[in-house]
Amino acid sequence: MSKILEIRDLSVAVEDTTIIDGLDLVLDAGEVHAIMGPNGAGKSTLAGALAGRPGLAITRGQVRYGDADLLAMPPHERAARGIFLGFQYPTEIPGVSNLNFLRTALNSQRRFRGEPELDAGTFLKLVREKAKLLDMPFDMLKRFVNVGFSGGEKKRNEMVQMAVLDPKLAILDETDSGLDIDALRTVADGINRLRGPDRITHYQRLLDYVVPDRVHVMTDGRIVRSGGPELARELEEKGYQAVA
Amino acid sequence: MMAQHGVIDLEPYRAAYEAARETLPGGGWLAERRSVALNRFLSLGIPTAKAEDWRYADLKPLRRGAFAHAEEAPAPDPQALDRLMIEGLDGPRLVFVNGRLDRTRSRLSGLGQGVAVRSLREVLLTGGQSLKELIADLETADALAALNTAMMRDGYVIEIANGVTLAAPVEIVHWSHDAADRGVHLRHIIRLGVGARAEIVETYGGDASGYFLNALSQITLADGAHLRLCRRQREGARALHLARSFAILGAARLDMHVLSTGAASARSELRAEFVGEGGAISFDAIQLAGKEQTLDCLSLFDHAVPECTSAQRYRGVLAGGARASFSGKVLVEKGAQKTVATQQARSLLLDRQAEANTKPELEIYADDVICTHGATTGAIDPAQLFYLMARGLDEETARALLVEAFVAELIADLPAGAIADALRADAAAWLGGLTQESR
Repeated sequence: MSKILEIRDLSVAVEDTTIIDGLDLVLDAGEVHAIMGPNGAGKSTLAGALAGRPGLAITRGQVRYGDADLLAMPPHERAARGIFLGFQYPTEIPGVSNLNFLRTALNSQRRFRGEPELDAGTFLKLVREKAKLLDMPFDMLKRFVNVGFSGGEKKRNEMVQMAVLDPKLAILDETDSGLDIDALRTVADGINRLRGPDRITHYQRLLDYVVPDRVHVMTDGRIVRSGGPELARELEEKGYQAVA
Repeated sequence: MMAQHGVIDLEPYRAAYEAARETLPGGGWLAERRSVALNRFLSLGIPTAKAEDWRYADLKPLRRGAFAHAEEAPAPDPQALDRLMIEGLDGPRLVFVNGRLDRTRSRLSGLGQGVAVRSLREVLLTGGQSLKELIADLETADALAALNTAMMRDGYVIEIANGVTLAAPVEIVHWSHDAADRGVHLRHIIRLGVGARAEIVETYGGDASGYFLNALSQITLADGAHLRLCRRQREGARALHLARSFAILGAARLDMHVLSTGAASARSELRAEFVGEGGAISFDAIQLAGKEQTLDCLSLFDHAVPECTSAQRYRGVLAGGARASFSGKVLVEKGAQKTVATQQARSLLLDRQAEANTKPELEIYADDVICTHGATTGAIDPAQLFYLMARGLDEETARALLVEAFVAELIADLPAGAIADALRADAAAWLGGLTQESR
């Protein structure tokens, strides 16, 4: 399989504190990878660095995304080229309806890629279909983005966005935290349905429903061990200390 | 114009009044009141920043000139006037040019029973009803209200009889042009009978000649009445604009919406007194200010009786060296129990040079009330910006969407239709101009 993402010797600092410290990671297209690690290991920082979150300083290393230098691109270009970050804490945007947001996002991406924009009818049909797949009531799409949504609803909303934007590489930052068991199943179902593009995810509960191809253990800003799906079980039984 | 020791010489104002006196509409009693009002103005003088109510306003132009009445200038640019009209409104329309009703451009047919939409000038000239009762003594409010009473020449009078609902919104369009250092002094009167309902939308616009528009509105709502009043302030770039509304509410409802984008200096004001239990006011004001504009919004709600509700929301967006301010005062009088008064003011600063002022004020003399206020001032939220960009919006689009969203929340609560669309378009046009400037 072809490499979709190749991270070499990546170091990332936040306000002079090194969070990611010489990290290497290679993802092949079509695989689901899970990155697991204790709090503060740098998982969210890694996700943010890949999506272009401001306030993170790349102090060393490089990231190849396909043939391109990922770190040289502004966030919107990364998105248009197929990278999706599922936020750990999705942002509320009062005044912007979910539908308007999604349509602007999708058409911005399409415009960037030189594809024709979707007209209102085609877009609505697409969103209805994806929302139904993820059990998101259509009324929620008319509401302002994430405003007044419960934790679970926010995460479900992320999944709807992912389904509509149809990325090549989805990076899901604790997409399962805050979900009740039904919502968790729905999200896992969503990921499995969309399986094909690569997914990086890191959280044990979700892995009960999504079987990863590869599991990585991250501590202190580095990948310290990699293995198959069995590594996730081992982590759960023995804890990070023993495994790493 | 400046006399010695920085004292402003107001004699030119007296001269302007004397020159116009013979042509001002109204009978002997009104002439008498005008004269008293003028003297009141002359003795009070032009408010300075020391006056609490005018602290954030920019009234400097008033110190330079006396603002005699604008001429009945040559016909206005029809295209400019057309741009002010709201597409899709086909009800009654009054067009005022330089402060005088322009009958040929107005549409006053088919008003239906119990609905009177007239020009104040015509009402004063024809008389026929208790005019003394019609013109409220707003001249006691302050110097500029007194100046308005002295100089007012025209305006609109809308009266809706008990139980009558206005079928379509009344559109009022004001256009001022070729009026450098001239004044447009308007008095508007809105009276809704018991259970009457009406929707009125005012649009103020003009050229860049640098005029002074001083509009005062008297609003009287009887029990069960419901008035929705929208005001679009799109004055010319050098104008000084004052639009001040004074409302008295029985157990009635007033929904007022203001979108202010124009003028060099503008004041939007709503003063309301509740006199009937169960009255309710919502006041949503948006000010979009750029360059060196000073936009200022002031409200004063007097909860004089129990069980009334007032809800205020303010949004200011400031670019360049703009100054935009909101002062909102709620007075809950002794015995006005079960009052619910909320105030929420938010300002978005797009440039460091801009200056936002917010002054919420609660004065409460009752003990069983719910009164809240909140104010925030800040720049665009970087977390929101990143969220949008992470979904594919470029920075410019993302910023524009966030600014639009900041004000959209207030427009979203208007009933869907031509007026809401017009407000949305006004806001979008302002934002579009902003984006172009930044290129």
